[in-house]
Amino acid sequence: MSNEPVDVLIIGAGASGAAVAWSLADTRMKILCLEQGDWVNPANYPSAGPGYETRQDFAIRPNDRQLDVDYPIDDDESPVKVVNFNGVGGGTILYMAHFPRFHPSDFRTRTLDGVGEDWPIDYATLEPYFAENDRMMGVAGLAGDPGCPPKAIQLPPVPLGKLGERIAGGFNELGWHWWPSESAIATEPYDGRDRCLNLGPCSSGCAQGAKASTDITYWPYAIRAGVELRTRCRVREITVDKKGMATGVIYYDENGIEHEQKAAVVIVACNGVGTPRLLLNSVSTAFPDGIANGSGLVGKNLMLHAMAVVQGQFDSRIDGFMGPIGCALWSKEFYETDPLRTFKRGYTMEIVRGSGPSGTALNGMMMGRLPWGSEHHAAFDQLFDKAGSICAVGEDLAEEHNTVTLDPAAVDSNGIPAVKISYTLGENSQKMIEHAGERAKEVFNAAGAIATSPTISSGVSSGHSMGTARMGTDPNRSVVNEWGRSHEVKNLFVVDSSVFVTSAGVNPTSTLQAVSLYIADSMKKRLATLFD
Amino acid sequence: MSDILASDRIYTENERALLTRLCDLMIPASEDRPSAADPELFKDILLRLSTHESVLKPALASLATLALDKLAASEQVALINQHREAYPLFFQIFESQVIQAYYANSVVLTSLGVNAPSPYPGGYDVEETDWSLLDPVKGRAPFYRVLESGE
Repeated sequence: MSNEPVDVLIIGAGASGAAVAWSLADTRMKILCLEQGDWVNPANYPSAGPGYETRQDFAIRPNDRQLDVDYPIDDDESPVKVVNFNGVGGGTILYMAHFPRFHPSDFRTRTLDGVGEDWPIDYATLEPYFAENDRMMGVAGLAGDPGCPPKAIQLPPVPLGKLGERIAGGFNELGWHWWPSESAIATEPYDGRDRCLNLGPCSSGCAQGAKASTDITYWPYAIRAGVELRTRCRVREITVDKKGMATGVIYYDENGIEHEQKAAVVIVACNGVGTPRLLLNSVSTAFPDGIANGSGLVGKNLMLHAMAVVQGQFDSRIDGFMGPIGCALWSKEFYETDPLRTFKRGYTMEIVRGSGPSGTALNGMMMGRLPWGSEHHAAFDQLFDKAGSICAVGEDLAEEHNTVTLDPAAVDSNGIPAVKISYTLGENSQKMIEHAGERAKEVFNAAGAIATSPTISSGVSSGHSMGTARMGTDPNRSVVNEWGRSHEVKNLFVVDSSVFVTSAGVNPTSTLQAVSLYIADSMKKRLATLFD
Repeated sequence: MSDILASDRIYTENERALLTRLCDLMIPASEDRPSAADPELFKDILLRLSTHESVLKPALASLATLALDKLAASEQVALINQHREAYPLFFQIFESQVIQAYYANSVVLTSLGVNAPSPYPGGYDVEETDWSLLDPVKGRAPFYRVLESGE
């Protein structure tokens, strides 16, 4: 393994790292990406074999997977549990591929609604990068959604299935907006990926390769263009010289051997939890509180989304376990701020399809709805393939007390300090959750559901970690500038969702990748003056 | 030595007999579905339980003292359920493993209209959507917030 100095060192090969690597590849610079996890073989995904609903090695929570490539995350005190994946493709390996963009208003919440902060960039700035990212990932959907700005769509929408059609009918009954979800799923062959087979559990990996994870979208192109991707390399810290410039990193290879890698530019792409962890672990004389942390905001303003989940039960089978689990339709009816409501900002309602046999039975047993004895089968038949959920993804506002900090006790398999999540749902989020839960129940009732669950907002999982190294023009109020460069370390960049200023009410992957491409393009336009 | 033989040796004959009874009480046979105590299913269940002996054996010892033989099935279940408070982990593991084995069984899956133990490679045919459902929404004017800048 050569540790010759490189021009650009990217840390993390997930959604943002892959996009920035691909974009920078055309500069012909020597680019290296270090990834702490492995390449994933789709043949190993759970949906390719029996027991697919209960395998833990692809569980969405690292605390459940407990793999040595993962790092411990203490989220015991958080009502929202942290989801991630460490490997080539990162979170896109396990995400549901729901692919909405942030709305224009999401970049101007202070100006429009007096909450949060305005971004230093806007939707119009990102629009070409959204479009470029959509082409790279391949997005299924339907043009003409009145709830969102117009855009080009590459592929036909994911079929709604019986569940989706029932719920769409409910929205129509209420006169509320709905639209087929934009989904990073190849509903027809696209750029070497075969079409979706409606396997169901996208959230444990797509064995068919129809879902756009960056190991099969960006990375093959980036590697062909000359980027080196080195797996099982876990970065301990970013190193600096006496002038306060980044000089590279210290990392451990898969055998635990320590290496030093020099680089002219360091780009951090480790997501909203991993990025502050690395920055806070990069302590030096020049940066005793962590690199790039002059504002004291590294790890603060964590946003995980306000989630409200309601399950609806129908009296007939609805093919609920068939089709991409998180992609069917969305509703933007309550997305924008309405002064008549008791909260600012809003949420998207999304359908989550049902479970297969094992998942249904385990959940039924846990909920006390699946008895022992002669009534077992009838009870199971009442549950199986007759339930679906509406998940509201609500904008949580940035609050400094919601943090990612270094865990004083826990370390990963290389002895690097792990992280602790301190997070509470604010009053605005609580009101939003209550509102969303009631609206979801109305939808189910209008759709003919025979029962609905209480609103679930605690114990839910989120891979939407944002805000912990926010961008801005004021070095006292932000970690990186308006094009992703650290205010203090002129050759250090952050390109993942850590830089988000607001969380919006949608899944973040489309926007974080657009931001990554925008930052990469900003770097390319400034190559001669990059460190000025 | 196969896994099944190895797992057979973890539990005594009496413990295996009691586990068989518990499986049958939890999921008895129906017209089109086997009992969880069906020999093929029970082999799988026993294998799954083989790594949990330290939790299971104390609970089995306690349950073995119950006089179940002369009771109806529902009465046996009621009596067994009285032990949930004392052995919560036993019930959690036992029920979870029985369910995972049972609902991955090909006979059971076929009876549910699921024709393969895993979604891949066959996948599922989801019927084409009737997009006329969208007609009421298509008539709606754009309602996302347009900013002063025109975005």
